[in-house]
Amino acid sequence: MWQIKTNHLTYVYDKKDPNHYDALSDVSLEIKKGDLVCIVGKTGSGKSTLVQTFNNLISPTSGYCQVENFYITSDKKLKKELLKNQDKSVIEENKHVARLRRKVGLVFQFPEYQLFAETIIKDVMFGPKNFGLKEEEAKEVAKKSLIEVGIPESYFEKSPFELSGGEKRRVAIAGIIASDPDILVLDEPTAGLDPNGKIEIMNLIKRFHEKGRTIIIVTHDMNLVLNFAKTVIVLNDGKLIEVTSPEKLFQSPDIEKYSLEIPTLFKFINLLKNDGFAGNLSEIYDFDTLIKRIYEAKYE
Amino acid sequence: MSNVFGKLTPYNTIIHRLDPRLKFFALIALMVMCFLPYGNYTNRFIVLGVLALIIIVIMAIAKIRISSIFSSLKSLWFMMIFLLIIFLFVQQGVDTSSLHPMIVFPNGYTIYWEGLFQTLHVFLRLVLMICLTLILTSTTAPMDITYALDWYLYPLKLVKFPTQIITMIISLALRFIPTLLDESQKIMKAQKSRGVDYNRGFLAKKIKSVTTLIVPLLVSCFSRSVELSLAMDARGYDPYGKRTSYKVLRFKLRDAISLLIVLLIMALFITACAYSSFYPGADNILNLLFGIGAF
Repeated sequence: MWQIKTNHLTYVYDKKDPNHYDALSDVSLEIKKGDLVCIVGKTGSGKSTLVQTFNNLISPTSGYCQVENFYITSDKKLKKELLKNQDKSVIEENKHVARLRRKVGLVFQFPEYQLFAETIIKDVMFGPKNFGLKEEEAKEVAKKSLIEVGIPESYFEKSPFELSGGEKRRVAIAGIIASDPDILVLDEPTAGLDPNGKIEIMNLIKRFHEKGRTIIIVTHDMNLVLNFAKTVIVLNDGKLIEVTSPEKLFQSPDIEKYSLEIPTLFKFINLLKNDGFAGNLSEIYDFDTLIKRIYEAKYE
Repeated sequence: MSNVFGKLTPYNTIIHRLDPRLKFFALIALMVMCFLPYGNYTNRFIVLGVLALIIIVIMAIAKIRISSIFSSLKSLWFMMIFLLIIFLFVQQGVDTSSLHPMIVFPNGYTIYWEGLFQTLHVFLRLVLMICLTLILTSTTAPMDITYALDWYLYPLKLVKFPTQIITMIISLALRFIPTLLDESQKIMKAQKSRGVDYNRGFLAKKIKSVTTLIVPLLVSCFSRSVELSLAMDARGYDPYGKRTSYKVLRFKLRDAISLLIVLLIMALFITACAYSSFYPGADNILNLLFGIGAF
């Protein structure tokens, strides 16, 4: 069952300006509930624009995006048409963008630059309070979220600006998950982090996904895609190329055509193949299996 | 992003091609013309109307959309209402015998037309200044504005004033306007996804919302400025070193003709100003030209 659907979605930046350009054109796709999706594509392919339509930060120039019962479009006639035969509850729901934003939590690239409150706990409480929670309730969920992202309680009253880059990012993510979104969208969550920081963030996202939440990640890191994604959406020049699995994508000859990097595992497999390795190199999707196959080929 | 200050429009109109020094001079000259005393309100509105017409023509030639002014005016509405209240009620303190009553309350309290006109006058001047600045920034690359400034500040070099530092500061400030606007858009989007609504709510809520934008923006500005100064140091920037320019500005025939037109416009406005100053008893320009009575 799909949770997010886009229908002929097009988005044009600076529509009336001579500099206008089509960030997205005619994108139609579906994202299943509980899926872990990675959106990939070269810089300027429309990845960030696409995810911003999911919580109505930008409205499609034409076509529409649907998140469960919420329709997102800038075309008023189309929206009226879409809501024509809907229940009253659906029509009412469509009037409240805040509800959609609570449902779809969006973590921007370098979210640590959006921290502003004097203490960490206050910054994390900010989102839940905006979405209607009382002070005490917001404090409770904020504490829970901070512990979930691995921030110790002794840090709660510190200024967010005293933290390291990785810690700031975890606080920023806590600020979004404190609102308990059904769908968590992350725009390049591991950009600029050291290898340990990347693993910590990805484990955090994985834990959130295991609770049944839908996760959408915009990334350039193909190792992350191979290790974590269940579904991959490939965009190129604002157009949808394919919705596929990471295994199929990295075995496809088109991967370099879309300027996507080959994951380290596949680079290594290709080196072995070119070197005339005699063992079985098919259907390997992790390093453990690869090591096992090399061992088998050498000693068995 | 819509056409805002600091963003050059990608056209090659004659206004775009003009020498930046001339455009800078014209901007200052026409701004000064907005503030000259033109006597009574009829005169003031006629003169500012003529100036508005000239600006509209220049904007049309430069292919600047008139609608781009409105986005710049959004923040001025609050000020306009504030001014209107002040001017409507402060008029009570002056000699009211020469004023024209608009509303007379039963208790004798009177609101005069002059309060409304004063507000409109201030607002119109502000709008015209915004338009003039918009024309300069939409048709001139930030670096060209800096070259023009550097040229105008040249006499100060004779008294060992470090003009190159001033122009560097200005050029960096101009260079970072679009970057900061983009940055603020990103922060606003991020805060919106945390439930902030920048458009709704009362003043206190709006001020609180703005804090969520200002603090991260300041943090980002300071961090950028430190990185930039380090990068400049790393590339051997010497603030007191003798600098040469990659682009050498040349004053062409079209610039000379444009300068003449600017001077002619200035002469016209100064004449209007002198007329109202030398003949304060005379009604207005309309009376002079067509024999129409004054307000």
